[in-house]
Amino acid sequence: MEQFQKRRIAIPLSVAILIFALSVMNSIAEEKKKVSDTTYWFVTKTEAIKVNEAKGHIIQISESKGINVGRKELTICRNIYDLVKGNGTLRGYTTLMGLDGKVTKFLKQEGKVISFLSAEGKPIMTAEGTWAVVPEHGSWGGSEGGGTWKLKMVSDGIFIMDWEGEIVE
Amino acid sequence: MNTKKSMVIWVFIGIFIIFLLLFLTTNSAQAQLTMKFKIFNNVVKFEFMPFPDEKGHGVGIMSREGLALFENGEVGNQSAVLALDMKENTVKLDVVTTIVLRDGSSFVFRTKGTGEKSPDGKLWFTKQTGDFLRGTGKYEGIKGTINIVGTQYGMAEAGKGHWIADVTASYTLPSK
Repeated sequence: MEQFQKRRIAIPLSVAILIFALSVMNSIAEEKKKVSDTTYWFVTKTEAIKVNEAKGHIIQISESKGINVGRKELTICRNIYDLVKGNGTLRGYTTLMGLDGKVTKFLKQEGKVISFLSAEGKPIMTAEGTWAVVPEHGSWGGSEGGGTWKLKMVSDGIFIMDWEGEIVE
Repeated sequence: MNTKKSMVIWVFIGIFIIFLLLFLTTNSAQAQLTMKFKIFNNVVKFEFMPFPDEKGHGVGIMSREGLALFENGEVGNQSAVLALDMKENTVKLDVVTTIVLRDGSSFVFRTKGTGEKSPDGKLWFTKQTGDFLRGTGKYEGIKGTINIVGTQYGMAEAGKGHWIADVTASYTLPSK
């Protein structure tokens, strides 16, 4: 009789634990989302200051606006560049918005910049690096994620960037 | 007898090696020097772009120019270019500073640090550390570290944002 009572409790308890474990695993799997897209950027503002310590050394700040063509998102990024003859580093922040202009995410990014001359002798800037969701933002509390990006200049002030990563929501 | 002789030879060789090492280390060691000076400058150019994740946050670049006043009475022209990541009450700094003395000698150092706004919002207290990048003239081949503690008075605008800083550098110069 006692054994039967134990079984009556044990079976539903095991089922409940199993259901709970499966639902947790499922929700964890759902939270990790792979993302990738191509962004077209155009530079809207740029200012540079020459650093006299070395020839061709500048510190530059730029604002660029863009669009994530697949995800249909608007983007604005502001970066600081530290370049010697077109090569160096960049770091900055990006705001992602829906087509209605409502902010959806804040990101930070950093990367390396390499410039070279094209066959026609025009300077071409390329860059690659990493991005990460800025986690502090209130409405995005708990959101995290990051990934990599590669960017290439296609003409003066116009860039194409391929990026990918994972976002956890 | 032979064993005694070889022991004496080995002792002499040992003493010779010790003297040789002492001689080499004494000659290759460069004297560690200390330099103290004050920087007094103001903002020449400031470009700031906001990042709206929180109030007052953004990135900026800035140039500053002023004077470096050394303990030994020497005076130099000082210029610096800064990359800034600012929030309402704090700032992260990445700075390249050039100092040119009256005799034409110069040195360049790069420092990183932070700043904090005073509770009344009128002052910014900054701390930076870094390394010498290069030098010319009497500072040719300079190597070492830099510590800077400074205060900015007033707003960071062109012609304003006066900054006074105490600089302590520990450095070596190549032996001639």
